[in-house]
Parts: sequence; structure tokens; C-alpha cells
Amino acid sequence: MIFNIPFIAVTALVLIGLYTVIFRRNLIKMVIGITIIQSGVNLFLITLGYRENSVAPIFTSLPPGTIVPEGMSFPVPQALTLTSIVIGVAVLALMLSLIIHIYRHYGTLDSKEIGGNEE
Amino acid sequence: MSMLETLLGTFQTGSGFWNPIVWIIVAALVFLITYILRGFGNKKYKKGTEQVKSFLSGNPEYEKEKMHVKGSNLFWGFTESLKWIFDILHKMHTGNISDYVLWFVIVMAVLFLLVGLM
Amino acid sequence: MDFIEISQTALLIIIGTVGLALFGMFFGLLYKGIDRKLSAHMQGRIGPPIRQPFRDVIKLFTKENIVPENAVPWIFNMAPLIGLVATISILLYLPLGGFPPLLSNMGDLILILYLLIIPSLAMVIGGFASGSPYATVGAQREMATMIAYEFPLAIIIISIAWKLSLEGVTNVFALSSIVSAPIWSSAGPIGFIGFIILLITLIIVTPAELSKIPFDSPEAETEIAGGILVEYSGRNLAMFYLTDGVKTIVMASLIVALFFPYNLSPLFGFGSYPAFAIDILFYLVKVLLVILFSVTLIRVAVARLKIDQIVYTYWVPLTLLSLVGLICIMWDQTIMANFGLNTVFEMLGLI
Repeated sequence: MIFNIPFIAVTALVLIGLYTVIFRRNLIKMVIGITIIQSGVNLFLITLGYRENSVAPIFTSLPPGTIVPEGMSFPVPQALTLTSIVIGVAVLALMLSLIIHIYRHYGTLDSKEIGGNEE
Repeated sequence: MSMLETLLGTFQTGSGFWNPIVWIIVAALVFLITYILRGFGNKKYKKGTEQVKSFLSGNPEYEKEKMHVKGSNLFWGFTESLKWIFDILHKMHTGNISDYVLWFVIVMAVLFLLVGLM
Repeated sequence: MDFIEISQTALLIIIGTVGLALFGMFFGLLYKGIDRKLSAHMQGRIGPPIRQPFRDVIKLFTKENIVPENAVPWIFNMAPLIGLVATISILLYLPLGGFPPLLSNMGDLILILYLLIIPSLAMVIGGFASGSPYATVGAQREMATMIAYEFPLAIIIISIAWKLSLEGVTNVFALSSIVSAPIWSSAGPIGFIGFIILLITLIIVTPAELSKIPFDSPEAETEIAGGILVEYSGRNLAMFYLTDGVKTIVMASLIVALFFPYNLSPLFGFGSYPAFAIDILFYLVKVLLVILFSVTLIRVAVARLKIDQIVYTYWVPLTLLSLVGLICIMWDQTIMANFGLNTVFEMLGLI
């Protein structure tokens, strides 16, 4: 049961992020919600790459008695998660710069007052 | 060399065939025939007179920006005849991202239920 | 292939192309004249003589070719030529007069469907290049009409090809195989009804392809002062006029090749030249009957539809009708394959 805690954390993070995006009207809060969803997905990716009772996949100074390579956790999800974190940072920067432009144009950050399709 | 042959040969689908090179040759030939036929016509006209102004049934011609027919009016016939679908779709697109994410979550939930029940 | 064979086939293709171009233009104008005469008699007037379209073309060649100042000159002059070139090149792939097509194994029905778009597209481009608001509105209407009628046309072609592929015909889209395996001979009673429905739908699609009343709102003379052709005059207008005539022949030949590909000469058992003559005459009579039903009768009977009515007509009722025809053909296949003709007649209560 204790090994299921990361999965429960992932679900909680994604649900909190979705709640913020759907039910909050301020644009900055929506961006924070999107970032929380990204953190949850990264955590999910790392959690999937864990083997039971394994050590970090680094070859120097292993604890004695580890079977190589079955005693190590998977390294590829960890590399991909680093890539995903960097992508998340780039998307966050782009979203915030667009919000600055929207604030300059409309004067408000309320998503209901920013117009929809205007012909 | 065989790639050149497949490029210039007849293209066979499973149920039909087509040869583009032969069509291009035939089209060039027909173009020549119609060009000669068109050459029998009269190519002169009086430039710079009243002839070359556009025909507007006697209405005065304004400047080009006012006379321009917009691209968004292009498919008026379509949107008018299928109005009953387009009105519903137009009301669904509010421009608000919260509504779009809500639609996303609802459809994903329905799909998960369907996959889980099968 | 050695040089003599290649040059022989090339010479045959060149002579055939010139001959077919002249044939298409001559009979296109002749049938246009017959159509005008018959519709005039149906409306209680005498009408022009049958040679009138020829006189129209000759008159248009002597008029001046005015290029308006708002127009783009090279597109304006090139669009009629491209329309006529594409329309004449379709004639090489159709079985005319009971003969196999000239380029018989180098083009099929899908190519003809694509080439049929080009004349309407040439009119649209010419209309947009004219620089007049009337022409722009006419070109927009023509584009909407094109999108509308392609849907039932595609369903009809695919139904016929599907039915033929179930009979085991190879190369179902090639016109030589469609002509050699007529569809009426392999259909049961329900399939017969399905094919009649498809024939009626194709006859209603034809006036929209040819821009005739009731679907001619792109060229509405009374609403938008001529529509697409408002700025055209002289030899360019003569090219569009010829395109209209040749396209009538093309559409009628397509209907004849798909639905009535029968020849008359096996009945009489003649030799080579009398058989050719009888075949060509019978083909011309068939084309005249198709033009009578699909162009003339509908033209004098109804008024012009608006553009949103045209789109609605093709997308909702006619598509459903052709889908009903397709379903009838599908039922017919399963019923005939599983039960056979006697059981069908028993079920219908005829035995």
C-alpha cells in the first residue's frame, strides 16, 4: 500500500490542476493550474520507472551486493522526465508572455470579459 | 533506371490505372489546337476608353476598398443552408478556455467508462 | 517497343485527338441548337434555327476582346483556354459511339471525375480575375455549387464500382470494363430499383455540372447581370461557349457509358463499316435522349433556385436518396447471394 502513494499523489495533483483550469476565471490562476498538471505528469513518469527495492542507476560507488543491472531502476524515464521538465518551463514562459500582451490589450485578466469571436 | 520507368509508366491502383505523361502530351496537343482556334478571333480592343471600365449597371464606382467582396462572405450559401448545425456549433464555441477543458474532461470520462465496460 | 510502333501509336493518338476535338465541338454546338429549338417549342414559341450556336460562335470571333482595367490580364485570358483544354481531353477517355476509348488503358473514371472539376474551376478563376463585384459573387456561387454536387456524384460512382467489384470484374474504375459488364444484367429486383434511383440522381446532378436552370445561379442573367461571364467578350466568351457545348457531350456520354452501354450492331449482325455507322447513330440518339431528359425538360419546367437552396438540395435530399440506392444494391447482393431469385419472388408474393 505504501508503494501506491506516488500514484495517489499524481491523481491528486492532476485533479487539483484540472479544477483550477476549469473553475477559476483569472488567467494567472489557470497558468498555475497548468503547471501543477505538468508536475503531476512528470511525477507519474518517474514513478513508472521504479523497480521494487532498487537503487539509483549510477555505476560508481554502488552499495555492496547489488545485482547489476536487475537491481537498478530504469534510467530512461528519468532522462525523459528531465526533457519534459524543460519543455514545461518553455511553455510556461510563452504562456506568461502572452498573458502580458493580453493584459496590455484588454486591461483585465478575467477570462469572461476578454471577448470571444468578434467578427 | 527502374524508378524512372515507374515514374514515367502507367500508374496502376488496384482497381484502375492512370498515365500522367500521356495526359500531359495530349493536353499540350489540345492546347495547341485551341490556341490556333482562338487565334481566329479578334484580339484588338480600344484601350483607355469607356470600354474597359467594369460593368455596374450604371451605378457609380467607389474606391476599391468599398467595392471589395470579403472572403468571409465566400461560403454564405453554405452557412445559410446548414444554419441549423452551424448555430449550435457557434454557440458552443465561447472562446473561454475553461469550457474547452471541461469538454475535454467529459469526453475523456465517457471514453474511460466505455473502455472499462467492454 | 521499337520506333515504328511508337510512331504509329503517336500518329494515331494525334489524329484521334484532332478528330475528337472537332467531333466534340461540332456535336456540342449541334445539340445546344437542338436543345434551344425544343425548349422554344415547349414554351410555345418558334425559337432560333438549329444552326444558331454556330453563328453565335462565328459572331463572337469577330467581336472585340475587351480586357477590363481592373482585371489581371494573363489569368483573364488563360482561364477560358484551360477550361476548353481540360474538357476536350476528357473525350479521349470516354467510350464514344460504341468504340473503346482512344487512350483506353491509360485513364479511368477517377481521372474523369477530377478532370470534370477543371472547367468549373476555370470559370471560377476567370470570374475572380475579372475585377468586378458581379463576377466575384458569381464565382463564389459557382464554388459553393461545385462543393454541393460532388457529394452525390461520388456516391453514385462508388456504388457502381462496388457492385461491379462484387461480380469479380478486374479494374472496376476503368471504363472499358464498365462498358463490357453492364450493370443491369447482374441485379435482382431490389438492385434494379437501386440503380433506377441512382440514375435519377445522376440526371439531377447533370444540370448543376452544366450550369443550367434550376441550378444556374452562378450565371444568373437576371440577378447578377451575367455572373461569372459579365466581363468576358469576343473570343474568350466563344471559348467558354464551346466549353459548355463540349461539357454537355461529356456528361451525356458519361451517363450513356455508365448506364446504357449497349450497342445495336450485334442485333443486326452486319460487317465492319455498316456496324460502325449503326453504332455511332445509336450512340447519337442515346445522347440526344439523355440531353432531352436531363437538360431540356428540367430547364423549361422549373424556376431558378437560390444558392442556399441549391446546397441544401444536394447535401440533404439527394445524398440521402443516393444512399438509399446504395443500400438497395447492398441488400440485393446479400439477398441474391444467400437466397437466390426464386426465394425472392416467393417473398414478394409473385409465385
